[in-house]
Amino acid sequence: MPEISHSQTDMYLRLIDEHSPLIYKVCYMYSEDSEHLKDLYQEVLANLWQGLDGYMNRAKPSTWIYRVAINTCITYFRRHGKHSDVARIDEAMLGIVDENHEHAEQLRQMYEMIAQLGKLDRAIIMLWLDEHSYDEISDVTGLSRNNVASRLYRIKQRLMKLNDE
Amino acid sequence: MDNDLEKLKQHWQGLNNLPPEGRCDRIKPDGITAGKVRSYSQRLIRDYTILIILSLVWLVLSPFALYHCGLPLWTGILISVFFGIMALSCASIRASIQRIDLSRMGVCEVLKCVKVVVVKRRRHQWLGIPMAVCVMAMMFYFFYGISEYMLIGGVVGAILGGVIGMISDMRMRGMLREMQEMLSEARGDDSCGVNEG
Repeated sequence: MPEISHSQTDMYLRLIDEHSPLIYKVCYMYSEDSEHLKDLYQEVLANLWQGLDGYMNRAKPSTWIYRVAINTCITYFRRHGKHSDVARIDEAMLGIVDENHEHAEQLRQMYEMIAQLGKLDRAIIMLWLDEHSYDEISDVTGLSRNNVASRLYRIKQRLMKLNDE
Repeated sequence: MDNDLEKLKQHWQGLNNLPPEGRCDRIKPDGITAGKVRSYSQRLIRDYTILIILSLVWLVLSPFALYHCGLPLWTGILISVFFGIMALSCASIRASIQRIDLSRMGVCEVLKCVKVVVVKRRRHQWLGIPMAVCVMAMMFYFFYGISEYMLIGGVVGAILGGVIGMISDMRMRGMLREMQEMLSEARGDDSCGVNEG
């Protein structure tokens, strides 16, 4: 990598600081357990750093970070198998929000619903839930706008069906 | 349905307000900015760089080393050709991995690039394994004629090389297997055009 200036390091750290909840959300939806979550999170940070030269204020930060996070989560290979003493992802989440049982339950349901979708569909619905436009979703996923629209319709139908069950 | 979806949106956007404890905020990016923590693709590129260097070293050394051990010169040249082909194949795979830019490409483009890596890797295996077996058989034949100890050394070297190759292969295969699963999912309705070309 070419020599990185202090300003780039500062920008990177600022981006991470401002958008860590977004990164966390995406990694969470692709994780199987708490260790996998941490691995994914670290891998996303590493890929953001690696791709910093390509960013340089050319895109909306959240869109850029979504792109890197989703691409990382979809292509990440889990090097270590699951261990029995590692917390399942829904248990790990309950440990965080146990002061608000309603919130915890909502999160658990969301995870259960979204995790049942295919990896590409998860990406589409997460972007839509964060109110990205169809054009932005199309840009991040590489699907055509029409394809995004029809896929999103099917995903929403499926989510509502899961919600009713 | 719209109300339910709105609630889902609120819940999703509410995740931005999770307390920091238990989130991954404890993973600090210092190691990354200091260059101590690398991404998986960077590690794969490093692995292939090492393979290329080793192949080039043996491409040069083989004729001299084997001639010095008493084998005909043509065997060394043949082995050089083998390592040369392997070096070129590894370089091609490495270049394909380098081409994957997770920060600029869309998901579909990333999947297509990964497909290229998978195809090249398979080609590398289908080409490399039979060639390696033939080369080793030839070498063992000559080693047997020269010295028992050379044959034993050759077998031990082949086993060590095989083990190192298998470990390296397992690391890469695991990653690429997951990619194949993703490709199958995208191929379902070919939204990504993965089956094109």
